Amino acid sequence: MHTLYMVFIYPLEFLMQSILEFSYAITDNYGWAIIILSIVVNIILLPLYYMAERWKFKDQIIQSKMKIEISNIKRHYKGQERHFYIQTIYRRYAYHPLSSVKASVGFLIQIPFFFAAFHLLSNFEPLNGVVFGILKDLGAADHLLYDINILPIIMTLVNLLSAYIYIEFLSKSEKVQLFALAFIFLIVLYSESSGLLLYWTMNNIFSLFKNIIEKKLNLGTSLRTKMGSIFVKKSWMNIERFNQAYHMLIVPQWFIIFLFILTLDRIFHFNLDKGNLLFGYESIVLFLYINILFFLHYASNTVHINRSFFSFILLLFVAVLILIIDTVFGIFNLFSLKYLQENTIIILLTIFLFLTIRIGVSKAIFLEKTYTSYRLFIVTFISLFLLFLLVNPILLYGDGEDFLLTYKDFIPKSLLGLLMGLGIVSFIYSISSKNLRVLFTLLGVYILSLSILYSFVLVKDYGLMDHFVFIDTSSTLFVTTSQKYLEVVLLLVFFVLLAFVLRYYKAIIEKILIMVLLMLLSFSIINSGFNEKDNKEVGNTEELRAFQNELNTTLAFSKDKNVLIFLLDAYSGGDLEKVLKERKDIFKNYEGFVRYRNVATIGTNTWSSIHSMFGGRQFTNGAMNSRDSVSLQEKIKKAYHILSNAFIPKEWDLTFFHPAYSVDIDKKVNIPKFNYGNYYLGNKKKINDSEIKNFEAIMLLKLSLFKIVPFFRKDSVYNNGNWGLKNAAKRKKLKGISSKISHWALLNILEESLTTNSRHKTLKYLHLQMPHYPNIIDKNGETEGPSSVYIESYKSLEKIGEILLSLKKKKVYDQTKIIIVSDHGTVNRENTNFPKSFNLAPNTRYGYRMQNGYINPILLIKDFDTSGAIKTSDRLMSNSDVPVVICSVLENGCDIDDIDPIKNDLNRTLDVFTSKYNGMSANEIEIIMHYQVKENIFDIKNWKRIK
Amino acid sequence: MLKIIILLLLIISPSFAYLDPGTGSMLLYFIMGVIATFIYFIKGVYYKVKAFILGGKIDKGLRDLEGIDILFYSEGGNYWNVFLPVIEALETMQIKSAYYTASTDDPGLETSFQFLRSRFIGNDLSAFTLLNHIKVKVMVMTTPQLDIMHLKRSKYVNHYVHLIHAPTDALIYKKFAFDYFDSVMCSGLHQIESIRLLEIKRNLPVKVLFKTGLTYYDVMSKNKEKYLKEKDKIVVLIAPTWGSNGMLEKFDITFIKVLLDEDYEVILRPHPQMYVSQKELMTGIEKELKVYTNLTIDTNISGEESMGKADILISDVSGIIFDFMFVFEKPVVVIESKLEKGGLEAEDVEKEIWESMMIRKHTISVNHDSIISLPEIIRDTLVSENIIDMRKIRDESLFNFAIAGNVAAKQIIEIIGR
Repeated sequence: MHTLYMVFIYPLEFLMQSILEFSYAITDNYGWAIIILSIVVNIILLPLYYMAERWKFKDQIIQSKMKIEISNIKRHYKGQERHFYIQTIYRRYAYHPLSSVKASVGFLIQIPFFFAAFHLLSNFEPLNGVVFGILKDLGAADHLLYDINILPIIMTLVNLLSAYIYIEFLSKSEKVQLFALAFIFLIVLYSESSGLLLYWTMNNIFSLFKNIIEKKLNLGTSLRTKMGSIFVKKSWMNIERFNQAYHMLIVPQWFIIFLFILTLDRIFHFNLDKGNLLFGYESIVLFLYINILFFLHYASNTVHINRSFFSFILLLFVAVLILIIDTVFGIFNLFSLKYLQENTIIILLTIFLFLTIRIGVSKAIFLEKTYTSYRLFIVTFISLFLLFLLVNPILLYGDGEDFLLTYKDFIPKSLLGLLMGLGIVSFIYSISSKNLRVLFTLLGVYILSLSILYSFVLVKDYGLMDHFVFIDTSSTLFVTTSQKYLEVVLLLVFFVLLAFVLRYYKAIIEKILIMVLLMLLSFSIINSGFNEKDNKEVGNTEELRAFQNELNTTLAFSKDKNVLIFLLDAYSGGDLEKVLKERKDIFKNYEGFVRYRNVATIGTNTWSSIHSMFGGRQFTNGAMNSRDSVSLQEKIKKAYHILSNAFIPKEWDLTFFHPAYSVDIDKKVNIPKFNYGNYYLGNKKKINDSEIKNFEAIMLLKLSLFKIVPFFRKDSVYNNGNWGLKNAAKRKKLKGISSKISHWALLNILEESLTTNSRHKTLKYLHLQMPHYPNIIDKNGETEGPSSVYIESYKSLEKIGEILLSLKKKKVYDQTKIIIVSDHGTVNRENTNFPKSFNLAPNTRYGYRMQNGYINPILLIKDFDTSGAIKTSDRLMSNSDVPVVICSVLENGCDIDDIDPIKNDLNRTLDVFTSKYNGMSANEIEIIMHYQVKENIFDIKNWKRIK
Repeated sequence: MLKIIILLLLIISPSFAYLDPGTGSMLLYFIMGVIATFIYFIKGVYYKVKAFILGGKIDKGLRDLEGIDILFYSEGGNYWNVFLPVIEALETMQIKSAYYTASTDDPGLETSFQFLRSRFIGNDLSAFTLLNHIKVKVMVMTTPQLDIMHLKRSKYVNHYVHLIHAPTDALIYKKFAFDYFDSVMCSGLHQIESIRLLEIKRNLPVKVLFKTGLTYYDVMSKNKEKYLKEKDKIVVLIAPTWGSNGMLEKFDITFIKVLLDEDYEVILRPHPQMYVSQKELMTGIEKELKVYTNLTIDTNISGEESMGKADILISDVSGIIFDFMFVFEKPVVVIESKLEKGGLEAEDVEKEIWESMMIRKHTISVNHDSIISLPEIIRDTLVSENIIDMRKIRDESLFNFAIAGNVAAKQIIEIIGR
């Protein structure tokens, strides 16, 4: 159900919400915004409505003509004979019973709009408490007359009036149905919010006017009185003309303008004050989008061409192409782009492409004589390229992985690729024979439908991915042989069906595809990262200064009080045990530390633990799910605000390094944006950022491809951690892309350059991807040599030990409370604290997450003014105790319910969760497993499975 | 029922409430359309699958008629006399043709024509499977309803000809009898008129309509002399049609007894179908009339012998009337009966059926009340024999009497030449 919603309703709802918010931005009033929304949606729907009406009447006319003949046959014949006779009549009238279904397609297209509107407006939070005219609260029922809701009654009256005008043409039973419907609406919508009713009343008023105009123009009457006449076609003339008039108002032209305004709006909104409107990233992207929009525009209009001009442009295009190929593959080194501003090149290319496309399109049209076929072709290919190059990468980009690559890097490239692709396919199309064109179009539609199907509907969950490698190797990632054959057969059947449908229902398919394209396009434009804050590269002096500022804050400690938290991602308790035994020397710097051994993790992956490690046990998976009043995103946001809400008013400086899951964090918190790896290692060794970014861009496309291809071919895209990248050098880069370099650099910089000049008390919460996979830090602290989880386990503690030494040297060690903790362990780690027989859950798809390696994280705490060698405690602890331990620094603590387990002896039971990341838009966290443990976690008797 | 479904839909999903009047009626329309399409689709699949399973494989030797441009298809031996005159004419012109029959006892299978290839192609759906894929220039057949039931037009046939095998009106055929033929070889002007009317009514492409005649009359008129014998008594042939409309079902057999008592020689020739579907009635009648020595019951396939012997025919609406009038040129008494148009082509066209007109104008009608006075009516009719000029009527109603085979052969050659 959720997938259905995501595929069919969500894009529309998103569009509606955009219109609503855009209207709100203009009117500053949600009441008017709803009215504008209603008008816009109705105008968009109008041609669909007329299309459907026309089909319906056409169908009715044919049916009424066949009626007598068919009833005669039904009277005298039955069974096979009857069927064959009726078939003959259908043949003579070129009728298919399906055409009565076709008559309803227009109606079917409307349904998602209904759902979207309902979904959007019935629970639209900003409407709460909004006053509009006599309506006191758009978010609640109106209660205008004592407790009676007046709006539903007005709505019904309008509806009845509208029906009264419409029904003149209908049979009696149809009339009854319409009045019954109006009555049902009244009941269903009676207690809905007045915002929703305002929208729906406006819809009905629109429908009323539509019916009145129709009646005034005698449109319906002329149509229906001529229904009986023999020459059906003539009776459509009126509606045809009417339709043409409306056609000027509609998809796609109107939509193009809308998207254009939307794009401009985004840019003005975010960029006007920066003064770089003309040559900034946004303007480039805008240029590229305009090209695509023009493509669409030209595809739906006939254009004349000049042949000589065409050949000239073709030459230019070839020249540009050679240039690009040369730049990308470095064959001749004719021209090095390095010496030119990249932006200038892009703009030049855009202009060339723009002209080329124009000509390519007009050439295709010229050869075609009619433009419809080319339109279908180009709409298909724009959609396909958009999905592959933009929509999927954007969705994947937002889905967890850390990228050096930013939207600003890959969106212009993708758009450029898209335009080039379009130019090329258009050119091929224009020189192909008619049969080939049909074939290309069919293949295009086929591949597009499959891509959409596999991207949005047939989505198989492969679990989490870590630096482009699926973590979950225990489950079968791919399909079995018999499933493969079944899929191939189904795909073939689908192809045949599609070929058939395309042959007979081309016009409908075309319209549906235009809708799909517009959805994809609006999604891309909205998500083109116009408002993105990136990891800034340290380039020019201005940026260097900004970086220096950031660094100053990050590195500064107070001589008064500091809290320093190292969150070492995926550090298993077993590894700490081993490091403690084998590398005792490391811990000589760990003065005053207590090492907690008996620690249960709150969650066995970052997603299930991190929120409670920032917000305490109000933010465990279970606790968040039990509060359903706000969205998941809101809940997570709250978790990240617990510390900032308590510490910032007390004049503490907060630094959150690399907080997981991009949610809004208090603006006063310092969140380092620069890549420290570049800065730190840049001096010693140059990391080639653009190479990494290129690699990441390719990976995004590979992932997009992986998403699109049918299951039986997925293993040719991804096979056992291998993405078809041929040489080992690229594998190395795969490791190199890790944000780990940046994190490792931070530790090094801290050790070398930490200062004590902060005027405020500081709290630094550093989330470090260590010893998280992939492992690249070798035993010498270099980033290229052989490494392992264990090597990184002791290298990280060793480096932290050196930082402790630095703190001591700078005389702030005693003023600093230090917590070293992990959010969970990792797979296949030995832990001598567990008895050999200890085995909590079977080694299944998710069961392995409850292995010994996962459930026992590390926890080391050093309070202010403590000394002496590191001690070990067997007090039962959880990594979700971190917030309360941090907050004990403040006199009044924070807004959390937890009790400090160190200062109090608690006889408590702790939760352990494993949950799945379904994206931020999900309503709640999907908990896979839930255990509870008490007293001693190393004794299996103390564990209890809850879910 | 539909209303309940819609109501349920509305209650289940509040979003359906977003329906304005136009959309509401579209919803209804949609649901009906889906249901209708589904039923239609399932039926179509069922019949196709059935035909496919029963259809069997195509014999390639039978499908490819290399060197032969003309194929005759006959549903069985009783049509042999329809094709024979055409085949004879082609034989004398030394033109090759093929004759495919759906019956093993077809006399066409045992001929000595040099230019004819005759074959039995099965009597089930497999015959249709073959014919639906046959490769030949011209296909001539007496089977109506091409491309309506299981017998479809083959892609590899240039021209389909329907050879009419009865003088009757085209309107008394079942629906769409000739709609998808390229040409029809008509026996009389009344057929041409009817077919043209149907073409206009149904907006069909204009067919070629040949003035051909009835080929089996060629055979019948040749054989006629054999049966014309001298006799002392007046011979009455009673040929009822089958089914509830037939006179034996409608009236009791007293009228036969009266004739027998009056010492007429009576030949009773029931429709062969009566022994199948009205067996009880027939055995009862046979038993009851056993005592009469002047009664013969004729069960031969061909009625020619009886027609030759008889002086007068008593029938209801049946094709035999016209054979008797046109070939044997003898008078006919028709017992009151009505032509039912239901389910026939006549239903779609405003035109008097030719048979009704012929019976009204050129036969002696007897109704229920006067059936007892048949002996007198027969006597009167035979006495005033010359009143009806059978040849004149024949010339008005029939093309090319006794030479239709030759004409048809030439017309087929003309088609090939196109």
